[in-house]
Amino acid sequence: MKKPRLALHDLHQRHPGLTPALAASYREAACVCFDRHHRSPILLRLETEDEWDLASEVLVRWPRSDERTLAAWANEIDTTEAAAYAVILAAVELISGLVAIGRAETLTGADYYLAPAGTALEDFENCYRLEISGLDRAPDSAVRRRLEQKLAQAARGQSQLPALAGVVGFDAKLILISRLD
Amino acid sequence: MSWTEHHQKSERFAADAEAAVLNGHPNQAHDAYRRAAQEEERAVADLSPKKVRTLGISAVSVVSLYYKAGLPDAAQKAAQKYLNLDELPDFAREQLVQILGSTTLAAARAAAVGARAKR
Repeated sequence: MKKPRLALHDLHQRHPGLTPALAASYREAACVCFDRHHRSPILLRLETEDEWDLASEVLVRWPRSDERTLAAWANEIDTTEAAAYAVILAAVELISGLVAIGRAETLTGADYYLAPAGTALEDFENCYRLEISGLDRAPDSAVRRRLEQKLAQAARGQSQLPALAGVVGFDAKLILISRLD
Repeated sequence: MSWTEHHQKSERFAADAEAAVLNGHPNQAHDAYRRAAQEEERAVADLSPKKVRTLGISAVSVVSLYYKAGLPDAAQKAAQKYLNLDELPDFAREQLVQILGSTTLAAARAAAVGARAKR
């Protein structure tokens, strides 16, 4: 059976909360992270809630990063974080049809706010908040632990519910997405 | 202008700033973060008082943006202004207090390191 494809390209065209420059940066970072451990194409395991049981594996293809790009993305922490934004936004879109319609800053990064495609941003009253995280080299157990931490973090901000949390392990080829209602 | 228009301008400046950070242009990033903070502050001012969740998210955003712009005094002033609002939701109040605490601690550590270096 043909596997669904994780669409990392042109994220800004489907996610109004992303600018073209930022979408391109996130995708470039994702290519670098995949290049560290794999050769295109690969299958990523995708674990989600029952009602989103669309796919357990997704296909991802990416162009090989050149030396200049690898040098520009030499900072592992920043690159993994930017790459996780691309992968999780694309995965959430694939399984739920939700897209980023807005973003708000936090001290250490930014939270994206999700709504069904075609929704105009009027406020954040009914949007889903998305918690995103990525791990470069880590076993499945560490990716699962990180998701638990993210869900606990989302639960502490009770008034900011509902929320989604997504974590990607690049070496582990694993994406986890969960909802906190 | 409405909250939406100011907020979307702020988002664009913040996205430009993040792209500048990723591309190694810190001065450009600071300037874009400052403009993003100012737009978000205007967005909060134009927000309906009934939209408390949006108020909380936007208030945290303003303070975070001023810190990212390298303007801690403006950040603290904005945080105090929002903490004085009765309608500010608890989650935002907690986050603002956390931000103030962590940045004050970081500044104190940096000052201590600087003082040791001078000795």
